[in-house]
Amino acid sequence: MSNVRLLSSDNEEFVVQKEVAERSVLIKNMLEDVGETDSAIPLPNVTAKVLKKVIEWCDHHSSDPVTTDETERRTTDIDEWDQKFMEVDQETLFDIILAANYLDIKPLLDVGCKTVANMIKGKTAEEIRKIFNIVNDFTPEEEAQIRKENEWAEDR
Amino acid sequence: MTVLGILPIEVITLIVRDVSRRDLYQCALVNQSFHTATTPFLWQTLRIHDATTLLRCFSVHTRLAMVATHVRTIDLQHCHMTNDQLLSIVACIPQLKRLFLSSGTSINDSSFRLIPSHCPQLESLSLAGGSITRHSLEALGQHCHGLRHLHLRSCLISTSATMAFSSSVPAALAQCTKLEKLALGDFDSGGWLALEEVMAADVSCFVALTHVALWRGSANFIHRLLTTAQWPRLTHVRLDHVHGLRHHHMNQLLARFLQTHPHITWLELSNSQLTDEVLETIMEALPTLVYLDVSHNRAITQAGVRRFLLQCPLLTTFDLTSCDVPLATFPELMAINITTLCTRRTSSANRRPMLYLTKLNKTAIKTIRRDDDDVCQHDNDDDAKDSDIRWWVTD
Repeated sequence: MSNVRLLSSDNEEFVVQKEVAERSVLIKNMLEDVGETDSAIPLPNVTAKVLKKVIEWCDHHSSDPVTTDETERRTTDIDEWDQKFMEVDQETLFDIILAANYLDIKPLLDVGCKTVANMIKGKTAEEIRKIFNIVNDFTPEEEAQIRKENEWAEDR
Repeated sequence: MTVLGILPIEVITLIVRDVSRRDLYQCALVNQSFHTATTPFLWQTLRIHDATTLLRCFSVHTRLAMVATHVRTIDLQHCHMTNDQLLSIVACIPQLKRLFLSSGTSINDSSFRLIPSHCPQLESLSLAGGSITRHSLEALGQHCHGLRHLHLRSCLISTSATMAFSSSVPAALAQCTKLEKLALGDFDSGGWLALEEVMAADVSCFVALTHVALWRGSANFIHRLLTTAQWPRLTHVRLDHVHGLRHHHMNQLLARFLQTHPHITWLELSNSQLTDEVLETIMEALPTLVYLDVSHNRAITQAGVRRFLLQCPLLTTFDLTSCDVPLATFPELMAINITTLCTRRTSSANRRPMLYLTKLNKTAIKTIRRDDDDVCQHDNDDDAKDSDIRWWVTD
């Protein structure tokens, strides 16, 4: 089993099994393009802290079958291990999502997005802003206009 | 620090795509990015209870033309509205694919016949109640050549009274050659007559048809349909409560129809005065049948049922509700959990309560067949699901 070296944005090197690293479509494609290489693959968008988490996830899921059926992937509930894995502070959660997006690891991206979606469930816009520290960048007029345009969808 | 507010819109899109409509509405109000990511999903399906509110939203919307391109489905089944309101709604959504309308609406030709020209990309149309005539169906056939699902229930009135009945009435839906699912039912005799006028000539054009449901049909319509139908892809059939057909005639009609449609896997023939003879016909004509409902056919006997089960290798559901087949005639079923397989009723013969078979599932069928070793072993969860069972109900 050959290994691959990955270099985080803060210059920490990780040695991982090729099949684990290849959960990332980005890395898989890079390896295919470059062929056998001894040099570390630089990942300038991912810090060591986040990369460590991502590798942990890829390692646990390294033997999962690749599901190409998107609706199936979307409708499957988050399994217990993934739920535990996602019990992190918000900043780490969003960093994992961003890393999964950048590294093109669709199942991890799905798990991350579903985790956030579950946090949104049943909340008002104001509560969502508060939970996630989001600035309301609407003017009062804009907000009133959006309310009016979408009034039909308001909960009844 | 990474916060949700600065995630790229494509990621926010992934977060909001599967949340409920109520949550979508709240997400749309969070900030600009959320609003942008949410809008396509929020507007994908307009499930409306109040036409006035929707039309007010349309009138104040600054980018109605843009959001209208996201709308695929309008569900007005629980919405009271006038013909004018219906027309105003669909006129704003030219790319509409699915439209569901229901009784409580007073829909008639004046609005309905204009819908197809406003929404030529319509793929699925359902109307229950209302009073449309052949003119609406003709408009549909003229504009909506991509129609795949058509569901009409108790909504048609005949125009024969006002027009000379002619045998050369042009076929209304002849160009709807992509039609896959056709569900028609609960019309009065005038409604069936209207259908006969405008549709009987179309029947052979529906080459893509896979699902057909006809219930409470008139004998004439059913007769004409079953004798002329040739649908090579047909797999699902519901045909029940046919009025005014004698049972031997029904048997003959079905025999011809089933023999020419051997790929049927799903057959519902509830309340059709069937006898064991039809079971024989089915078992010879449909070797790949999976689902059979012959409920409310009291002439069917336990001997016929047993013979049928032994000859139909792929069957997984057999509905015998109200067929008067006593559980006692299948003693082998006592070995399994019978609570869902039978019901207690008073016997008409001796006025004593007895257990009668209802819907046999796969386990029951396997027990009767005594095959517990075959391929069915590992597919434990494919008893028909509710969503499959009611495939003719649009939603």
